[in-house]
Amino acid sequence: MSSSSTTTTTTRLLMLKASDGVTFEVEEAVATKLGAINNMVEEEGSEDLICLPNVNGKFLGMVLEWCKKHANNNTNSDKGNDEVNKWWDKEFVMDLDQNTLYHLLMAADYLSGTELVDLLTEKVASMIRGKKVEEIRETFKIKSDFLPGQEEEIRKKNSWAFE
Amino acid sequence: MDTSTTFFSRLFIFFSAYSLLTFFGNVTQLIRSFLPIHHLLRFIPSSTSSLVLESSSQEANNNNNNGEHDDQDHEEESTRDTLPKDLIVNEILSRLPVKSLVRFQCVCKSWRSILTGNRRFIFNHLQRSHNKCVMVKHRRRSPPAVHAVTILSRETNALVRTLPIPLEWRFKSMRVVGSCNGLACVTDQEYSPNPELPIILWNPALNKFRDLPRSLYGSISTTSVKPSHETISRIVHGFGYHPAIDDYRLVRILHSYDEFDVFRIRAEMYSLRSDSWREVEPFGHRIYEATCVASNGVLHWIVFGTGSSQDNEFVLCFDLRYEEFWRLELPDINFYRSGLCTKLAELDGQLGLITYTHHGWDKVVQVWLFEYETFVWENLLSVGPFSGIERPLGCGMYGQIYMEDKTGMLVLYDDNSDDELRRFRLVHADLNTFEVHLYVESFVWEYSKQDQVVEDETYDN
Repeated sequence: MSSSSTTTTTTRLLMLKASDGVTFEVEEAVATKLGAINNMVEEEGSEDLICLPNVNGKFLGMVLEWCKKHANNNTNSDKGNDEVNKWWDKEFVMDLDQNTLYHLLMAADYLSGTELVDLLTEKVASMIRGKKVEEIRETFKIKSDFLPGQEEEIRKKNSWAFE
Repeated sequence: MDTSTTFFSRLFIFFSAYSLLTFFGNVTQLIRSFLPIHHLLRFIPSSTSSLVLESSSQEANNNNNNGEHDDQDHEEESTRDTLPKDLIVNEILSRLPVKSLVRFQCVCKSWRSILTGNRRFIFNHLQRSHNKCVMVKHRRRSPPAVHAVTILSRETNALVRTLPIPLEWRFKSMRVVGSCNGLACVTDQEYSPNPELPIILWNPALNKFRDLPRSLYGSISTTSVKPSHETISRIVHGFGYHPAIDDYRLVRILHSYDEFDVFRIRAEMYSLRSDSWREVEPFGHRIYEATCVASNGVLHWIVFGTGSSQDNEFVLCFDLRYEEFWRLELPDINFYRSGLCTKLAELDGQLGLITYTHHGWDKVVQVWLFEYETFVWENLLSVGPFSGIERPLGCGMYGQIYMEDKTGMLVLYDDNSDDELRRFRLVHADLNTFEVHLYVESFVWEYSKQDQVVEDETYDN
């Protein structure tokens, strides 16, 4: 089993099939940037088609686009790599609307793309850090379950944080 | 690899995964809410030529219709346009500044319980904290207050904020004993002979503080442990954290003379976990320099040797876990003869040493790093001579040294910058009242009924 993972690092192609039937042909080196795919390839060895019933084609495509860029940047050169990746990551998350961002994040999380999860959660965090409590509830669809008066008490105790 | 082996190995994986999941069935939810990698994955063979990846998360379970209809998917998307709770809490909230998190306690009950003392969350948040700062304490030259504590960014050197000090009027000569994972321990000047000094624990980002309970040797007249005719000549403190026991601890070392003028050293230790004091076996050398540096769960002070080794200073260490003092040698320099001064400094969690020439207008400064693995002092930096510098105060990022100039201004030397020295005009102090501590904003706090909120009374008027 171990031999397959060492000999096929360069050109082996994997087929990834999304929930809506869309398939992607990706180099193994690219797809294994995702922890979940990497585990499957290492443990199961011989299979070329991987079904991902919890990811829609649109978001799987975006996740793979990210993996491809990072895999390429990492093999390309030595020094300015981090800078290139950072710049590219910034572009990647810049114009994402909330809905796309959430679905992409869930896809990345499900596929154990740790670095991508970091990037996307950092983006969500930057969007919500200055928000009001009511806005947070709306953003994450959370209902307040405090008894009357409880919330006011917390606000009063921590009034400095609401300024 | 032949097919039967593949089949059996898959069967094995499937059953082990299945039995594990059944076994942990009830606690899965619990585990997931704590684990940073919060999804358990299982692999199920679907046919001989393809693999299916499934996740155990709830919203994924109702989506097994592999490769079917667009309409359904679209509908599902619109209902799922928010994130799973554990992803929000573990991955997103842990990246937010403390002030936002205090505000978000109001969102719902479960957020409130996570945001008021959940250890796992506090730890995650601390791991992600990357706003590295320094805490600068000094005594002001002009009102409104006597003491000031300023937070500067270690990366940009910009002023982050000036902190309101808890009950500032209580301090005659305030001293920050140490700053560790966002917690600061503050007391009055170490050479004050008054043993009933206030000792407070303070998280400036959380705006919380509380007085520590009275120590064993806290009061000359009221403690039964200590005879009343003793005079305390000096009290030295050290504050640090030991990861293995996950506890913050404060050590007090008291020098005193009894009625026959016999010198005595005592030591006691406070544990935040147990919120109590106990006596520890002291070490028979006097400490003259109050600076204490905590690193790797060990407290360090500089001590002068006595007897035959009188000329030599060494480092007195206290292991916060095993509660033992021991001796560590300084770099092999005769400090007494060379006229060099020494000061311990924290270097990003490691033990560092700054040496500098004491006499004259120009000062040459050297920085050393102690490698705990090899027990070797490594000379990192040798810079200067600088003119008009009073003394070095501490280190910032790699290659940075904070110093105090002869006019009472805070000065930064940066080895990576072309500028000679950078002066912080906002911070102007009485000479020799500066302290510099590494600081990081954190959510660390051991909640208690004695907690108080820091009021910003000093700066209102």
